[in-house]
Amino acid sequence: MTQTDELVAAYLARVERAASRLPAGRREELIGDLREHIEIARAESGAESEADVRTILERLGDPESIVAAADTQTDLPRVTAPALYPTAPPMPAAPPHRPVSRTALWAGIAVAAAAVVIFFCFAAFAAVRDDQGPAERPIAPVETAEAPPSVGP
Amino acid sequence: MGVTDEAALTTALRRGTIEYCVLALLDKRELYGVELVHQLSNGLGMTTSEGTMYPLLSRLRRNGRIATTWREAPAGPPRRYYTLTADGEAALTHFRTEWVTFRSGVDRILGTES
Repeated sequence: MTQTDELVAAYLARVERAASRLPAGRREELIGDLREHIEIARAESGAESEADVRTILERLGDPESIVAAADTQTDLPRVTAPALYPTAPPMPAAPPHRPVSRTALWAGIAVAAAAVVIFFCFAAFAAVRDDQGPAERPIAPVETAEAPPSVGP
Repeated sequence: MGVTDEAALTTALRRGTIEYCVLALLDKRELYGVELVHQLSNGLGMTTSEGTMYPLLSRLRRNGRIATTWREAPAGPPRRYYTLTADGEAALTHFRTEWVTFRSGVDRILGTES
């Protein structure tokens, strides 16, 4: 193993350690992709100097950041896939439910308020009729009492 | 603005867009990993985080937006080429429309219309 090979091996070992939290399949795929990248980039740069390899590894970046990127990429499908497939029905179903129940709540309140208003209206109307009832009767006799004099002359 | 804030801002801006940059590059022609990653990192100023693109490529492959195919190279080891699938092409077309609308809205609000 040459010194540049050791650099690469050490780098990949760091990625592997950082990637221990990833599912095995993802981890192996990531390491395979990076190994392939390094191999091709080394073959293309022609020169096999340590500086070349260091440049390749520096461009790849910090193993921890790469694994952090893998974390977000494993999270994304978990978020989007449920939204598209299994959890999708409950998710969109929930928001429509809430407005419906809220509407029902408001409708209930409105009906209750209307019932109270109607009740008081009836009560007030009944009270007015009770008040007017006796009042009308005296007026009517008064009118009839006044009418004869106006008709008289 | 601190370095960390700036990095977080750049990361946030890239988050929703970089995968469509991948699709757009592959729409022009198929590319193998090193080429694709170099074009992206040079185009987006990510020359020290090329490795972070492989998890993205992996997801795009899982989601069927891109595919890979091995080809012999004139020199050196065979290259694994990334290609755009029909799904990827549809996603790219859709994003282009969304992007223009989104960008103009942001530009109008920010006062950065050209």
